Amino acid sequence: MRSFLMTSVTLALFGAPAMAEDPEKEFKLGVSTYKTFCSHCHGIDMVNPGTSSYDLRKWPTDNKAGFNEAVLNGRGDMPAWGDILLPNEVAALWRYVATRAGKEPFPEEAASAD
Amino acid sequence: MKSLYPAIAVALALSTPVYAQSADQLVNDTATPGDVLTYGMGYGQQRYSQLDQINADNVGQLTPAWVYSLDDSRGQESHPLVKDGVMYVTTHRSTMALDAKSGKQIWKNLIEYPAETPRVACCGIVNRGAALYEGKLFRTTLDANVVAMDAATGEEIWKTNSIDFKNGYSFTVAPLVVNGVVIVGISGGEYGIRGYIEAYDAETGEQLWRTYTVPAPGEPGSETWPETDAWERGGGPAWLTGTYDADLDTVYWGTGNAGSWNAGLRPGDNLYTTSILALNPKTGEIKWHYQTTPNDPFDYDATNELVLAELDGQKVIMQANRNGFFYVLDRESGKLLAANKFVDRVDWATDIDLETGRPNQTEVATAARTGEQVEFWPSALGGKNWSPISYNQNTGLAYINTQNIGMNYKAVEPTYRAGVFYFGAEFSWSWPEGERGFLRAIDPMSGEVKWESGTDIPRYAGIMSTAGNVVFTGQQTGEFEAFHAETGEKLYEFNVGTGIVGQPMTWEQDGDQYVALAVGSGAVYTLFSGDERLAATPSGGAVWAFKLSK
Repeated sequence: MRSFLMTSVTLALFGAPAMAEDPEKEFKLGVSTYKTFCSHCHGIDMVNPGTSSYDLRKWPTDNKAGFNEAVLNGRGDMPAWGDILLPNEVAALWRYVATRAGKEPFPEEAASAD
Repeated sequence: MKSLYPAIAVALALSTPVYAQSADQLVNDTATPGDVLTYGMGYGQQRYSQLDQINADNVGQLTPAWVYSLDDSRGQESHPLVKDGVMYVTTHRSTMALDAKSGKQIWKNLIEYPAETPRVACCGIVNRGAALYEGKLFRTTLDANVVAMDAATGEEIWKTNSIDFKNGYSFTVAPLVVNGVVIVGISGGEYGIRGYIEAYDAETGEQLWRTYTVPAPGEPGSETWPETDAWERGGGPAWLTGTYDADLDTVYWGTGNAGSWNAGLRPGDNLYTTSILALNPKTGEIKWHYQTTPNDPFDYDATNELVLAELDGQKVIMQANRNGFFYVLDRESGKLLAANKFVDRVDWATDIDLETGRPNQTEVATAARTGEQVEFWPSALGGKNWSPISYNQNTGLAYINTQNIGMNYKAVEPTYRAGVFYFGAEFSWSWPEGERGFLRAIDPMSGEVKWESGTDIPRYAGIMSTAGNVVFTGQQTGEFEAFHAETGEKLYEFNVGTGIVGQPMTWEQDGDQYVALAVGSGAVYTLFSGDERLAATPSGGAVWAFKLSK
């Protein structure tokens, strides 16, 4: 518990302020967050066959609200992450998923308010 | 059977013969082909049957007897048990009793676990099966509980929580029951856990002992860890079922990788991670240990099944380790007898010194520990992953689903957050041209490959072999397969419609030999490899049973 709190504080201090304004930094946080929280079900670099888990490359880039809902509260077989992910990490994940793991530009519709 | 649950006892007594697997019956499981009472078809987990009604001459006439839907989209790795015409099978969220002849459901109960639970499973939301003892059925749950049920009704008798799953601990293991002691091993080697093997009283669910696989400061083995708090998150999970030698009254249990993967941060051998442990089942005391990958940076678990056999009259343990070596040990003393490579490329060590038992490690291993970018084979998925081998007493061969996969790797500073990945490494896969896996028949002592069958997508199913000279396994693309045990000729194939990562088993009932297994895509390769060729093989758990057409 102690270590978790310290990590959260560290992340908040060094992560939060810069993220929203700097897409590159936000994407980088998306990469590391995805690796830590998502890759074991959705595949390294978001590549998976989409059978036993969802293929995130198919997630509609205009559905940020639905994405946030699934990440925070779970969806189908997917567990909820709302108690553990920080808001800037969820935002970074959206950038990562909407750019298809950095293979495509961040789509205009993906930037819309939730 | 006594005192606590008189009503259940009476009910069981009335509904004979569905009760009472004594300790002796479990010991003698391999001698009674009318049932399969233990994980791995016997305490020694040879996955070998003396049955030969289905044999190399007629296995081509195999035909489905029944199919039962598991109503689940996760990977299915459960080892079915059969007792008195009833099959017991599990998923991560349900336990079932089926009529073994018809496949009709007798009872089914669901497991409720918190919605957050699946996030602590690194490598697939799976369960590997149940255990039987004196009318009770035992299983583990993903949220780290051990449960005992009435085998006749499925009604819960006791449920004991082992630990808080939110800190990265989980169970996928099938329990091992030895003389009324229910033994289980924890999962979570990638989550900053401190691993353990522990035991519960079959009757009451009371914890009897817990043996940590990573010692605390001052305990034996702690001298192999640095004087930091690394041991608190030192890994050493124990997620596959151990074996038991009744004559020696010893349980053999493998332990997994040290954590984090960044081995440079924990100089020393890091006992008892990546080790084969010989345990006293009554106390959990470690009688001896043998470590396969000291100061492991590669995720080279030694959790793989520890098959008991007699080779030239010597009582041995065999293990196809993730690290690419096939180990044969004297199981009384723990002395190493043989260690040969069973995959073509092993980069981390040139050989294992038979005198000292230690690997001669290469520059690749050194570089991996110092944070350099390296490529090594076999990958963290292993020369063999979890899928259990078979040892055939007739042919004297071990049958292994091997993997031909490498890894690009760089150790980095790990960040600890409770209940999430604690890798301490950046990595990606390195694929070969062509075949990524081979079913191999090898000589245990020499490592000589007698025959092999390669596939573009590696097999992740267990293997069973029989006195009928047949080897059964399956592919992640849906083919249930039978091979000639001596020649490797493929004799039978049937498409079950979903990937196979389960464990074939066999029994005899009313004059017919049955072969059955749980099927269903999922688990670590499907989820984690990014192999898009599997997109055409849907998930969907089921149990299939086969017998000869008349």
